[in-house]
Amino acid sequence: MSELSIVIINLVALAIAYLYIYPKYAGNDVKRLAWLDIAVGGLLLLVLAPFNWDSPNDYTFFVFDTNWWSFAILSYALLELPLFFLYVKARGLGAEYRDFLKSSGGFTEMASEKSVKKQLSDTKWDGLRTKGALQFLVIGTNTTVVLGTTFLFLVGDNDWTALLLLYIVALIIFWFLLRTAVRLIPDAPDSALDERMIQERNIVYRRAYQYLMGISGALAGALFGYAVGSDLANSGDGFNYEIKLTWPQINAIFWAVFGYAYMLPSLIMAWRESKRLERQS
Amino acid sequence: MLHSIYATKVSRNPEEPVYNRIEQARTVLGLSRQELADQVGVHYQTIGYLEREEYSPSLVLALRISEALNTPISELFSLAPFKKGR
Repeated sequence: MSELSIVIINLVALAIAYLYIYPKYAGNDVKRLAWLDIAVGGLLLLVLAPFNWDSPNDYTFFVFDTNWWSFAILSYALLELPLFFLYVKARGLGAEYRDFLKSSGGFTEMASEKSVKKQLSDTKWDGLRTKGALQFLVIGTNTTVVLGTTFLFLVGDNDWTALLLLYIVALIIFWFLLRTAVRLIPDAPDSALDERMIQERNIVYRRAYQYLMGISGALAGALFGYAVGSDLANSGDGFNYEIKLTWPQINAIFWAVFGYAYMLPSLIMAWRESKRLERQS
Repeated sequence: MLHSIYATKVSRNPEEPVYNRIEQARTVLGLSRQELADQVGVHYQTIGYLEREEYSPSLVLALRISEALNTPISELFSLAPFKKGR
């Protein structure tokens, strides 16, 4: 696919986004706009991927040679810039954007006050909040991460690699179900919670940090061990080391770290709640 | 190595329980958990946690509950279990 084709597809995506999707589904909500923008960009890459997957790195972005996805992202961002400023100016969102970027939460605040309040009075998903369902979610999530990571580390360069997509989808489903089961409390701002919930959320975060410290410590330790091991096996020169990782292996590390970073608080809260229900019964 | 793993294990500090008679006082007044929760500004589930003595309230919340239930705080909360029938 040529550069021109990618630019045309970008323009079509931007037209749909700025003339229909953003005004209809985000309006003046800058946070929703930001997430929709990421979603449209991601969708665009998914649309372009099948046509460009095996293409050589001969896309020229001004004077730089690059690959298809870098070209798609860079050209999309460049084309979007004037549209973004026009949208912000037309709707007078400048101050809101500045506040959004300055606020402590910004992109990392994962649940709005409104969505948490809706979840707190929700009964539709009560089936997820039983002892058995909570334990299933916690054990299921951990088993998925362990099996997925092991699989991606062992799988070679073959068609089985496509199962990576299934693994990512499974993680997203578990993430959604976990957040719903714990009513978004771990991700909620203080204003949406009462004092007991704030206390519980804080306990959960402290514990999640400890576990995350263990996971990141193990990864860092493994890296260090690899260097020492290479020296002992005389395959390193004591200063330069080479780590060969396949694409599935990089995904294994990325999704395990990213998955736990996002899901640990909900996992711990779900487990604590299941234990509380166990004591009650 | 094992010492460091043991040392980073989550410490457990069981909180001293606070006994209460919220449920009895609420029932006498004919209030539902939701109604009491609305009056004191918490989620109705938190009233359940309090009544089951799974959560100890802050002083502010204890005072609000005492006011909403029209009961002195010393009759509502105690560090020792309440005698039955009182």
